[in-house]
Amino acid sequence: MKQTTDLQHALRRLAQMLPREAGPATEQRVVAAFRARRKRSPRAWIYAALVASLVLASAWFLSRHPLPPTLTPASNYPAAADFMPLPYAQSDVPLEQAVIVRVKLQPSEWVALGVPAAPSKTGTAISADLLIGQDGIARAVRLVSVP
Amino acid sequence: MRPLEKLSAKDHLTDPDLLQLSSTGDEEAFVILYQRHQGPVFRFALHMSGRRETAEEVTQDVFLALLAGLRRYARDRGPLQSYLIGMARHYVRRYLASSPLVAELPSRNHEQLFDHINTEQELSTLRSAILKLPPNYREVVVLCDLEGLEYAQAAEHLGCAVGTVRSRLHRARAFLEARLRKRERCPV
Repeated sequence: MKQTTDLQHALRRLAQMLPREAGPATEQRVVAAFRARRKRSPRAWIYAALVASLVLASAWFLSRHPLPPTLTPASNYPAAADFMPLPYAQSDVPLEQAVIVRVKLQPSEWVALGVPAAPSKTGTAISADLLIGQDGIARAVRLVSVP
Repeated sequence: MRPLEKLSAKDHLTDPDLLQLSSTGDEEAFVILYQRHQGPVFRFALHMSGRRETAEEVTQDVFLALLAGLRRYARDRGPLQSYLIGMARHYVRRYLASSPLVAELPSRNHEQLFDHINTEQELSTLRSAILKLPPNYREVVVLCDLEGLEYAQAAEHLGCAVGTVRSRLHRARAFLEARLRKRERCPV
């Protein structure tokens, strides 16, 4: 018991003898790092403002530029088949304001869309209508008999 | 200890509040946090490594890591000091893996050295014995015997059960007593 008391007494003396706090140089380095970090990182509202301006600029750009010339409104052309839903294109957004866009697709692009077999074996492009939801995701495709 | 005139209105804020302010760039809040917790972190690293230089580096690393992840600390992970001591454990072990343990005692002038030579020899022996303990045992001696924490506080810092702290401390003290007895028998 006495040995333990002596040990604890010696441990207390040892604790008192050693330095208790880090030196001022360490504090200076830590504070300098804090200041450097503050200079590097702009506040969150700057990020928010940047994102908002990007969104606005994108919306303005899209409103000023028409669709690419290869995309033709589909209403002028007769359709030869029903729409086939595209696999992997199911969206949580309900289809409310769909747009039909006529495009020309190479056989390899049919496969890329998930249609199991390309409708043409000659390798020529085939017209098709894409049903595109208001979220910009193509939901279905149909083969068109080109006039 | 900071002088009284430097006390500010933010001194009474809790650690999470100070962290929140620090994350918005409030330097004063971060300095208060540093000054509140650097002592225990520094002493833990000093007792574990035996070197002041390492303790200063560990203290710096711990607060730089806190700075880098100010938003990462979650209140439900326990007190900030346990979080900081946990980081200090990690850094100390990394330092210990790359450099040998050396016990340094604070320097004194020649007159004091003569007066205290016996005491210093004893304390040097004790310090060397502490540094020879396995890290798990050394941690509990540092926290409970040198820092004076309760078993429950030490258990929280170390992330283990109170019973584990108690049993490790019992074995560590037995080891230290054995070393000191051996030293008494063979002083050279």
